[in-house]
Amino acid sequence: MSSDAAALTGKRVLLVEDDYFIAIDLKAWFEEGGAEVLGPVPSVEEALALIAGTDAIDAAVLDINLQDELVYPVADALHARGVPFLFATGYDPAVVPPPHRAVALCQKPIDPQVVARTLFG
Amino acid sequence: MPVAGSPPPSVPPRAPVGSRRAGRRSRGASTLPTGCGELGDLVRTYDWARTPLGPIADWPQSLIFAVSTLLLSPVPIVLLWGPDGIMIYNDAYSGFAGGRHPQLLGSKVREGWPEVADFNDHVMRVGLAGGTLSYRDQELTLRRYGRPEPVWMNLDYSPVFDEGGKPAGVIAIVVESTERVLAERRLRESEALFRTLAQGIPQLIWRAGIDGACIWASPQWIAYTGQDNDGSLGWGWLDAVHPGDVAIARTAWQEAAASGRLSYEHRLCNAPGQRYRWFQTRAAAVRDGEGRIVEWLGTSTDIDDLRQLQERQQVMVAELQHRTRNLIGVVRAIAKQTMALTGPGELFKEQFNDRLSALSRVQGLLSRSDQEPITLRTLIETELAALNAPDAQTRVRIGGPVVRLRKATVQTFALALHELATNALKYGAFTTPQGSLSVTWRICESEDGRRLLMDWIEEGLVRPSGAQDASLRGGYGRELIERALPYALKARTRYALSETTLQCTINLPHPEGDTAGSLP
Repeated sequence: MSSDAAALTGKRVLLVEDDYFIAIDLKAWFEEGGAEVLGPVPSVEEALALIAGTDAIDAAVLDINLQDELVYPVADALHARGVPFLFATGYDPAVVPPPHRAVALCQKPIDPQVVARTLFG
Repeated sequence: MPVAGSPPPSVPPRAPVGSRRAGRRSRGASTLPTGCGELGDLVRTYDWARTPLGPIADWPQSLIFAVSTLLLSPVPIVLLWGPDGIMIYNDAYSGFAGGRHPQLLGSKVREGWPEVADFNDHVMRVGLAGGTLSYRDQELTLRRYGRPEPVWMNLDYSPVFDEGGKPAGVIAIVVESTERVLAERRLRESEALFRTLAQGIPQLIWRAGIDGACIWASPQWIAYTGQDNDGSLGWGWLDAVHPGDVAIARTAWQEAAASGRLSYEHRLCNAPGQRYRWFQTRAAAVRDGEGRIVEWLGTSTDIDDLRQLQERQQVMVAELQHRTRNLIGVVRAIAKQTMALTGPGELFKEQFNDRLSALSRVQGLLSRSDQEPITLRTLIETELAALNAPDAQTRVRIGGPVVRLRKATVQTFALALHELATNALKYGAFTTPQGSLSVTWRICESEDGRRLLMDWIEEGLVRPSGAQDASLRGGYGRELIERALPYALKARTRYALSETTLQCTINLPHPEGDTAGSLP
């Protein structure tokens, strides 16, 4: 286990990703690193419900395009709670609207170590 | 005899014969003037005795007077004397006569100009009856240089009276206007060509002063913008430009004077369609002899469709990039998950390659989906065809309404179908003589909205004993059905394997508008 992954130990990480294969891949990786995964969930509605029902969230990884909806309401909710998060997307950074430009962005296919470093480094 | 204005400048008589004859008189009348250029000489020396006119000495005063007048004139004049119209003309006329001169002198008009004999017959009839004729830009075909050529002339005919007061000849002033007529015709043709071009091409055409104030706008401008003719003039044309683009237009014009070119894109209001469309406006500077810009000739070209196409393409490229990057993530995940089940080795290679092929097929469908929406039937048939299964025609039954799948659902659905199909080939319906596969679907309304129900039923199976089969069949395919579809598509699924049948049911939300028509 790398030192980046070690930083995950005990962290509660929310995953929002609509693609099943990518979601369980990420989940497995975070869990291997000792993190507790919240979700993964594939939609805004489920993500908002999970956030509302969870007291402690240390970080979040958000896919931007969730089938036919965009993840920004989830970003707003996390921002309001002061939870650090990043976007994982196949789109160019240019498509992110100005209110969310400051959010860190990882291009797919994402490198879990880069994600860990960005969130907890 | 020097006469002001007679061309060429009068020269002293050179020919001794001419001067001798010029001095003779028979009836005590005045004689022909000396000089008067080439024709003066020719007339004086011509052997008129061979003609009905007789020698000059015998000519009546009226004839002498008429010939003197025309010889002195700088205007092309010909005298047609007597019933036959014997021709006597001046230098200016000899230029007009071309190759016919000098044979024309002294000949009968009918023979001198055989190609227009009828015309001249009429002239002689009218003239000798005391009448006058006048033609403007009269077109006649003459053979002055051996070949027929159209010629335009201003022709004025007046009778010349003899001493008895009777018309004895016709004097004709012949001014050729061919050059002017052709020039005017060319100008008209050029103008017509410009009008045709300006009104026929789809571009809006206009002329503007050096500052951009409109001088003229083509009918297309009027028709497109709905402005009346006056409305577009001056700076009126700016009213048709989108308010957000007026500053761009003004800036372009300010810079045009210095750069000598004008090119900018803007929206222009279409009156009939009541909407703005994008145009590209370009103009070329029209310059005077010193190179100063005197006005601009411009076109405005509708590029709205092109821009929309470009925007669509940009969206498509972004989507494609998104899909591709996502796909790499999916491939990596599938490789890892397959490896976890098979371990490294031949089985991994086989299963991973199969799954890559399925992914590849669905990318093909997705890339064409804008022209050809992906239906559930297409997806099922694509996966079954890829199996290349024996007796598929007789073993497989497919049926259901036309169901269009959302692009976002297609990939996961296709992978699940691929696992079902692969399992059917390796462990299921295609492995026994009596095995059959039925894939049917329907749309139904339920409490939680409109849903798509698909049944995948394999019958006539023979389960070999032992747990090996169950783990194989229940492997990755079962995980996709029971976990991936509920996660990604909010599907409710059931996967039931008995001794002789496999029954897999997939029930997923299918919002209104995703169905079009139905198939038997």
